[in-house]
Amino acid sequence: MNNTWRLLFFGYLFVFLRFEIVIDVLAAPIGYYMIYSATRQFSGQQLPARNLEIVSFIGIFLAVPGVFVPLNEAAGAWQLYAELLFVWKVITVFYLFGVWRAAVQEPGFGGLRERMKFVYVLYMGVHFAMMLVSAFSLNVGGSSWMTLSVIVSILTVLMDIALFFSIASFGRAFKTEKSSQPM
Amino acid sequence: MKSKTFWIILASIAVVWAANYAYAYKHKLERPVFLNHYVDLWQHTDMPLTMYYITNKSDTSEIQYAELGGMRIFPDRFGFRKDEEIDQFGSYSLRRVEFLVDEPPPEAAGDVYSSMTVVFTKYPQAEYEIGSIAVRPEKTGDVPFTGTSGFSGDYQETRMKADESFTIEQVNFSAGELLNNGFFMKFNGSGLAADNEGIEMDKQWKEVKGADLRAGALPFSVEKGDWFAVSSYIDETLRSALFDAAVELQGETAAGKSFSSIVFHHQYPYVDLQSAKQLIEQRTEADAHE
Repeated sequence: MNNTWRLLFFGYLFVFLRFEIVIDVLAAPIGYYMIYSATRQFSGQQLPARNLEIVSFIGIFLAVPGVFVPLNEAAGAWQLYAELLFVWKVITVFYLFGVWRAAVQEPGFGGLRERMKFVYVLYMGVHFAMMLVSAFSLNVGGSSWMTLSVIVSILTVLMDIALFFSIASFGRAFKTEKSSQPM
Repeated sequence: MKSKTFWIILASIAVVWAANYAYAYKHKLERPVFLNHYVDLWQHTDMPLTMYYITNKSDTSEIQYAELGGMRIFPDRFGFRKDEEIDQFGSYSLRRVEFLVDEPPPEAAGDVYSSMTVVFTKYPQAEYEIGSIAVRPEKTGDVPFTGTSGFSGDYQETRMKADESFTIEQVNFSAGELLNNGFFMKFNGSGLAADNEGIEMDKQWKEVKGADLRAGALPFSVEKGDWFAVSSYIDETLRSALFDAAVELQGETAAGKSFSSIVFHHQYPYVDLQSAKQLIEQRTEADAHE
């Protein structure tokens, strides 16, 4: 992985994971900053990363309160805030996929293009489902609904992990492509 | 997926979320609602008191303590134990709390509490309806029967063998208003003809042998050496209540000696969305009339 992809990988890790020791040690604003930095490098490579740049820049500030609030036990307004952070993460990933889509248009990335499309469709589908489950969970309960919620939550985590693998494999593929180009 | 499609989906989810939020807000409870509890506490006995309440799913408050009559009772927080969520229905959550109740004071004997003061972490101190919790004197005295065995299922049955001839003359139940009104009893023995003609019973209760209390089962005489059974049953109107109640059987032996004995009825509450809404409606209406 070159520096850009490494920034993306760790940036998303910070956005996705929470590790609370009084505060969230894996602070999401740091993650958004890393993504923002990576995005600026994408822009230098003539990739259409303007939207991702804006979204990750706003994310830096949007995620600041979440560092100090235990969002896993959030209620009331903080629950709304936690939902907003989740949506913001999905928006960020949507534009991230947009950049990737542009990056893999070049010949030689056929396999990667197909894999990206597969991960993209699943990621968005599962995350939209998670948003709907969260919305209806306000008024729907019972064991069947709880089972569904747990299944969708697990799928959401799995899709986040799949995204990590995708970032890593993209990084490797681009590095290989770059090193195979004639000097 | 094009950018436009993505934003349309996201906007639709936002609308769904807002609609759900508005609905949940409209049906939000101002404060928790306790189920009905029909429980007997015994003097000279420390015992846990399990109670159930319905609150909003998003409610993060917990009970700090409660006051039952003159007794201050605290939830069991051993090992950072919390009020436990038992089930969810709609926007509500059913939670269970276990209070540690010290031996009730002597002056509390005979008291029946239909409400208690509860202090939640996020609600002001308030009086909550709880059903009927009675403090009863310690069970003492000889009874003219032995060999008690029990059965617990859709109904509860206690079987006993008479050591001497006796007659059961009356039953006492601390939530007396429920007797024959949701809480039913039958007596079965060789000295009793079960004639329940004209008595309204649901299918399960109909299948239980014995004479219904409403059919004039008492006085009920038992000869020495005979077995007899006392059955109790709760119909669906009371299924959402907790029963840990004692029914006192009072009578006299053939030798003219009075006796008093206890049969128990235990039932865990069964709550679904419909019964939760019904209970909330009842409690909210009662609050409005205060």
